[in-house]
Amino acid sequence: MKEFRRRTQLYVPGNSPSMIQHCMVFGSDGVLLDLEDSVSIYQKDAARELVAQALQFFDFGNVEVVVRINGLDTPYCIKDLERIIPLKPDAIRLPKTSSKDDIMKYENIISKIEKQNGLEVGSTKIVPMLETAVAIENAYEIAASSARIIAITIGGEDLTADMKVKRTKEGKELYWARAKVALAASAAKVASLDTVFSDVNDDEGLRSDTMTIKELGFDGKACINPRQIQIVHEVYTPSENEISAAKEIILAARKNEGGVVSLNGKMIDYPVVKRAETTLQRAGIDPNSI
Amino acid sequence: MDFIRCETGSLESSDCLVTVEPSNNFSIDIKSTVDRQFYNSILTDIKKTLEKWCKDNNINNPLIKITIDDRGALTFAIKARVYTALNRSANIV
Repeated sequence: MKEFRRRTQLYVPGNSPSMIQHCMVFGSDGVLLDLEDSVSIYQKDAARELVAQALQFFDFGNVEVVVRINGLDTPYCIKDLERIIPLKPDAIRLPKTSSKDDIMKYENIISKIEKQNGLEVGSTKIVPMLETAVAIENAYEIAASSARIIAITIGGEDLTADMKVKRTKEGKELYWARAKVALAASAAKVASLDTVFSDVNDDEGLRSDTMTIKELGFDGKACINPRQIQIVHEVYTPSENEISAAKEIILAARKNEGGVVSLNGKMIDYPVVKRAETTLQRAGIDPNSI
Repeated sequence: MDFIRCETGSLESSDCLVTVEPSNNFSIDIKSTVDRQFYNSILTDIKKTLEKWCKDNNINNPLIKITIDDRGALTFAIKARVYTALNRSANIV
């Protein structure tokens, strides 16, 4: 399986040829070809076929390609899965998953389609979206429910609607839910991906929101406009000083063969080394290469 | 199989509007902003897609007229729009 950085995932409406054909050039780590909310119910068939053709036509290079399908509670879900799974996108994003039972339902459907198409059972990776209060309460149970899961993500708009609260730029109403999702993802050893920041004209708001989710432990964030990508990357990209310090830590630990060591008066032990490795990975540097 | 008049796509840049309708004779009508360079390529995309659709649905020689109003769509979009328009026209959902 390919390894991807997941700082940014750019949403692309699935029924727009012009947006699909350009989506891989904006520099996001991933693209989300959307068959769900950005597509009207009258165009679900057209979007499904357009995304299917795009998956066969384009070389997306190092960009992670994820297709967001319609949920199990719609008449489009199975058709989406039947059309998209054989084309082997990097993952499928599953909206409104609220429990382990939901994942099991998807497991059965996806396994059946894999068998019908001669694909290895389990090869289709999934990203459940947690968009209800119940889903947040079940976050770890969902994250750990299937070997197919590579990440979990929080859907801020639907969640705040479910909680009957207003979505604000400061995001206080999402703090607990975000923290729980990030923690659950870490516990289940999968990536955690944050919801979108809706105001594309508020760069500083986006920067602040991204700093918050980075501190909470998220691996990245969905974007709704290419303009948002650079800002999220800037927040997630370590500074030169942070990179130098991380390299020093790893070299010092390596000299001491993994034991506790002191560097510039500070104790360097396993968690510190682990954080230094994460810093280098976020900078796109393989810790083993230094 | 019965066909009805149906459209798919749009007249936005990089898209195309495809219409499939019943006809006494089979025909393809192409109008494109780039037809001087790409007429043959568009025609090939339509024919290949129709061939696949006929095979997928076990249909021979459909009596239809396919009209495309193209605004610079790439092959993937032309194929998708033609396939969906055929499905809609034949009421395959």
